[in-house]
Amino acid sequence: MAKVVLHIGPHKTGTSYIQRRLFANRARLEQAGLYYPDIGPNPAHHILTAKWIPNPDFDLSLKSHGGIDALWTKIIDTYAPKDGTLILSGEPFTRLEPARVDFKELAGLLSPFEEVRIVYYARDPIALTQSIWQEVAKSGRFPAIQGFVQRAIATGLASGVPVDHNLVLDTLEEGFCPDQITIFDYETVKAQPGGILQALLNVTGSDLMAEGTLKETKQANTSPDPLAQLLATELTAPARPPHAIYDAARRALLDRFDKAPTTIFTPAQIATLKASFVEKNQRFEKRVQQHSPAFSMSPNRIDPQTHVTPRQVGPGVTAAIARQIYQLERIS
Amino acid sequence: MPKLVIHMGTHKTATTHIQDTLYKNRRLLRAHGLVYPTLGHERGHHGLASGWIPLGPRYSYKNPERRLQTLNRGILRRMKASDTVFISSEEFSRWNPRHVEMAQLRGLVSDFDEIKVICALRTQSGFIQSVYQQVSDDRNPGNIDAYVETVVERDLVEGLFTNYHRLVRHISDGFDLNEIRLINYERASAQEGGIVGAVLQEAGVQIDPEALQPFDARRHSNVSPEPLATFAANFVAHTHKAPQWLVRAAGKTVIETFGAETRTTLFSKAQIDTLIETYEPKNRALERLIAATQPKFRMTPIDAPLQGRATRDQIDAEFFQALSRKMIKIKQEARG
Repeated sequence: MAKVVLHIGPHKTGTSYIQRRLFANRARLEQAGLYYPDIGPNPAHHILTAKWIPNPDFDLSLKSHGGIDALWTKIIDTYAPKDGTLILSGEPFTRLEPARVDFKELAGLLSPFEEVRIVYYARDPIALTQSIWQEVAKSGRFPAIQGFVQRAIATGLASGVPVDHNLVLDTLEEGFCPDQITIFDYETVKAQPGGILQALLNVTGSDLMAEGTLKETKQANTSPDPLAQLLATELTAPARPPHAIYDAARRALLDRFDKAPTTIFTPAQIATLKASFVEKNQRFEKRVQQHSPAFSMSPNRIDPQTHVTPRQVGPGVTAAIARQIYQLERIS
Repeated sequence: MPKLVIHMGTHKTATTHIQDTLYKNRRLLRAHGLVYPTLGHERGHHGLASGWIPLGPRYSYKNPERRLQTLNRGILRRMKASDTVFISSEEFSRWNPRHVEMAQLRGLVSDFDEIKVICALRTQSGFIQSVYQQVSDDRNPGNIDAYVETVVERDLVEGLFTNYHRLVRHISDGFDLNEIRLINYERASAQEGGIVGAVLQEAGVQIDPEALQPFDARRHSNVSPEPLATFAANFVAHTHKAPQWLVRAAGKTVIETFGAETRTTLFSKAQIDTLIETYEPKNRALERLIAATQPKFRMTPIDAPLQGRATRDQIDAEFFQALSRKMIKIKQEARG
């Protein structure tokens, strides 16, 4: 009987990168006894969450599978009897709003497998909140940052995605035991040889090496510079900024601040977020340490001392952006 | 013998308005003893300075020296002793790239027994700002800080004196100090009769300025953009002349930022302080120079025209974001 490793993200922890590499190397993985099914419509398994989280993007694919229940049945029937490990990956598994996965029901679905392991990469909530805002802004919405921050603090969610990792554990433990849940500290494993992908491969028990064995894929979504994205979005909201406008903002920031990292948060917002998540992170750490004593959350790196904040953007920067925009022949 | 009045500007003290008004009302003025000669096509007499200063075909006279001599003889024959010949060109007060040799000019008009040179002086902050804005109509003057720095260093803006003590010394190379009359531009503009009235009064013409017909009402309806709009448009256009659509967009952004009632200046607070430090002493020196002939003449304080105006330091990051939004919309609409 097979094991199943369910990688649930969350968003903005290199999930697309992991999914693209695994998808591109399905044949090689299968040689090593690892199964990464191609079920469409993307190189991951988001579609499986349609059982609980409706998404019209999946309708066409689901039709070809005979519906979501048929798809689940196909997955279980195909892979549970095999030797080896099924790897499923989809960050929507962690989404809590507007709808969420029923983990108890999921546990039931996966019960034919010999072993079930859930893998989750815990990222610093401040960086995660920022990344989620960036993703939302990329999709054409432009939530006011102050409100976004306040909601993240009040609810532990940013655009329906948990930034308080305790909420993830709470929902996972509705269906799974804590010792079935592997939590990685995102920053720690990212820095290790083979990075976040190797960490996932290690969980499967395989000795497959990510580097040198699995072919590389084209760069997955690299996040835009946060502050450049914010400045560009301010100019074109509610429309998404064209790349030329983002480039103008990025160049202006580079000219002024060299390669200093940036953030969308003001110093006050960073301080508020830090203060709110200290206790939540400590509680999360203790919960994880019960089964992984070595686990610890990397400290937040977004700091006004090291990062350029919106407060530091003066008229010199925005004038430089304006100058570049003036020189653009066309803006689509 | 008739008197000669040479109105030497300076630039940006409504000289065109004065020339246009006197031209328009030359018959009425003639009846009051003032001869405003028609020389060439232009209403100002810039061509009379073209013997020294290259002015281009539009403004130059073929033989400016002869024209000046004609003034001496041709017009004089038809005039009364009590009449005044009034010639006007701000180019007489230019320094660079060439300047009028005042001693030569004085020689060319020596047949007149009485000569008066009239100069309206504008306080340097308003003068430099106004010149900058006019230059911006033709080209981008470049980095504003470097521009002002150069002006202060050389005491010249676009070849025009900003140190009026030097200007008067230059005029006095040809004319006695008691032949030179200075007008405080700001004070004259605010008084009844305005700058035209002040100039005519200095010229000794007894006429109610209200009786003068305006040259062209439309000309006065051309409102200059706010200085900060000019600055912002020039900055964005960088080395290129800022097109009208950009200046208009900058103007709207200035209004949105500061309100329709607030006037602006393109100087920063530090630059205003520099102008005060630089020119107040020079203006005191000027006042001392002419104290014997105009003991009550005072220059307007440098910061007076700038009171209550939003300075360049008050432009914040959002200002240029707002301007960028307008530019994006304009470019998208132009494409669409």
